[in-house]
Amino acid sequence: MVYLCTCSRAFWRPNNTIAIGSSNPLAREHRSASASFWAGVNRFARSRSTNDEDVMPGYKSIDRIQTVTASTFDRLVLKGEGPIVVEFMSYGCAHCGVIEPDLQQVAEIVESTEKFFRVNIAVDRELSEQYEIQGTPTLIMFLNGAELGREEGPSPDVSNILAVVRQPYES
Amino acid sequence: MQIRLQSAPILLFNDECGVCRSIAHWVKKQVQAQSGTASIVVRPIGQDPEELRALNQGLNIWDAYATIHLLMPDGSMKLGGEAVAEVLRHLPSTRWFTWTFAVSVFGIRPFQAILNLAYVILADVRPVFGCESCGTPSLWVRPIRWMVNWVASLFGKSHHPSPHFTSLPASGRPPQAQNI
Repeated sequence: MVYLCTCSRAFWRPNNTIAIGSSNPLAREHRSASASFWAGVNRFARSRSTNDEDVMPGYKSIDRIQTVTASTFDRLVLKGEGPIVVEFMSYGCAHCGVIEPDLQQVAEIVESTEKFFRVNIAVDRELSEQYEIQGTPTLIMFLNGAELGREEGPSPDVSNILAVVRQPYES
Repeated sequence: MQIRLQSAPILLFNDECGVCRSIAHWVKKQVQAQSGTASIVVRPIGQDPEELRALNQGLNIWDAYATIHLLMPDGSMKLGGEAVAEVLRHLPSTRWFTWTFAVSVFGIRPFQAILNLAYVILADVRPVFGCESCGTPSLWVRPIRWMVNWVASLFGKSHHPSPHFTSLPASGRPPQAQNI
């Protein structure tokens, strides 16, 4: 079975069925209310009062974070030009799901100055070992192939993540 | 993109969660006990977003990990307690009582509501019983988790993940999917 969601707010719904061909707002609601209590309450309230495009632009629009693998990491990240932010994540990590919309938003904001990539540690284990990743999500900021800073488990908040990904390049 | 045609519902489970793996294993055993064709296909969500989209174009990998999904042969999806009810309907050992989930009183299905609530509670307490990827538990589960950690610390085992962070086990990362 069974990924059992950590949120707790949809049990009274009369019918949790998604019609053929439609997207998946219920799961989005589950995900958005999970993991971090305050983030969950905040997002849940928003997901009730606004449409999904407003709440989570990253989910329905394009994915602004490109996935890199062990074979492309060297070319895209280490030899890449300018500031590069790499998120070490896993799709099964609840907190990665919580910060994903915020990361997408930040990636859009800093699009002109910084590149965003993700490494799925469930697939690319060597990279997570190479960079001594202790948990997910972990953001590592690179410049010309060198690590300038890292943040483990950033709070799911756009302004916080924005500060995290900008700070190493300002000093 | 080519959509795969399916003849039986597909139950997706989180292979990074010990509780989910155990329940999936139980469902799979129940299905295998049936004679004839499998009534439900049980498979891990995996790590490939495109592969999931091939199963159902409306399926997002983040959504799949956020809550239980049952992909129906007609292309629709059932979520949460509804998915659990549908799975129970397909299992020979449990289908005898599943008519109760359809009972409606003044437009409310009380037994389905109870099942939905049970699903939610079980989902919340997963971190206590073993979920490598669940991270910080819900507020009401935290005292329970704290007590479990406290008892564990008495035996020399303690684990306090920081908020918004899913610590990897010392061995490197959450275990891969088990072949069930």
